[in-house]
Amino acid sequence: MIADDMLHAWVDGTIDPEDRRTVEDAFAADPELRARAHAMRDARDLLRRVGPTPAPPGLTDAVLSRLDEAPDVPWWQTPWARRAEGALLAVAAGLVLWLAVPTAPPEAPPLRDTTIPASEGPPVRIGPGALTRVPTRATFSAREGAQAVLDVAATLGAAARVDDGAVHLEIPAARWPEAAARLRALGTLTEEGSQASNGQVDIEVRLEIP
Amino acid sequence: MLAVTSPPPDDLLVARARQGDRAAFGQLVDRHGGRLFGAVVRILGDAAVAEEVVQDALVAAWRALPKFRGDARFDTWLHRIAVNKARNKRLYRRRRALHRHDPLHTDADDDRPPLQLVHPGPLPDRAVDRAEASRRLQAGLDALTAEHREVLVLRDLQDLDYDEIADVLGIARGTVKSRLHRARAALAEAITALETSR
Repeated sequence: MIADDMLHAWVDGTIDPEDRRTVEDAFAADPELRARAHAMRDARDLLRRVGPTPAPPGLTDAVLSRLDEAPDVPWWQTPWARRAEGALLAVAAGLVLWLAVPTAPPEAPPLRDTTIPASEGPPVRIGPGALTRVPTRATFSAREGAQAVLDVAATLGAAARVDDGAVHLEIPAARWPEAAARLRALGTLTEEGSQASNGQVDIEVRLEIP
Repeated sequence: MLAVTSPPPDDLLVARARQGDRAAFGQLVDRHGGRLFGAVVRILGDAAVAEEVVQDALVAAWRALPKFRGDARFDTWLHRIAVNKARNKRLYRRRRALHRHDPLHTDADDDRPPLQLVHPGPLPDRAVDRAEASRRLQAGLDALTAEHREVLVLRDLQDLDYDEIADVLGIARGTVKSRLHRARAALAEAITALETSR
């Protein structure tokens, strides 16, 4: 039995001579291990052989031309939101925050059962087909980012829960501008979509924390 | 007399870009944009979507430059932004696809972009063996989970070291190693399966 580190050093071609002998002895004793290691090295070589993909033409010009793009318009200023303003004030807005981030280290305590009870505002009922019914498997690139969102929820007295990689907030519509301002202080907030059903409005936004 | 000039280092260009120098940022995009695109196109498997994601990532980087503290290399920081953008795009497309109840998007590994029925955009190198290698590689990558694609691309295509990958993916170094081990084994298995099914 050889350690994964040693096997990968062999695959990468960075193994030192002494370890190489150990690995090759292991290969001689275990043809299946040898076959697996060679297959991994072939796969790695394939990635290296293919090499870089050139940038699409005009990438730099395209990026430079977008530097002045206005940040995304807040949802309450969109034509849809203006039309629904009355309803928005009357009902609670369901908010789902998808955090664009990678998996927390396995040794870290799980965030997913964290719950902050609402101290004001009605809970949001999610109507049939509402966006928040979609199962999410987004994961966190920064645990502190997820915690920061939960802290914002606590400050606002909003219900919040972490569910399989997404933070779900339930915020009364009247408090959304304040919530949005606080969330924007953490990162870039983008509206992804909205849906009204059964007198409820669900707003799906994405928060990217650099 | 021959004057030899070397291109300005990233640090200098970043410092100038932070002060609003768009030309300096343009040089950074010239320098790193292609490499970033190469990673994202392999992760997402779709050239048009990858281009959009890379543009979004670079615009986001420009806006976030004041927050860039230089703890990581600039290109590592760019990779982090681009990988996150790619994840966002994948999740967004998947959610949209689920709302459409799209019957084509029923794979158990639901991480791939929906309706991804075409090979990624034309590869510029016309060498037949390289094109064939590229096709085999993408077919193998498409069979993996997103997590496995990411770690393989960052290690074996982008040549980032374990610490840099840990920084980009926001995971522990040990997790990078174990994930890379599983990813390499999965890619090897996928390619072998593709070869035997031909």
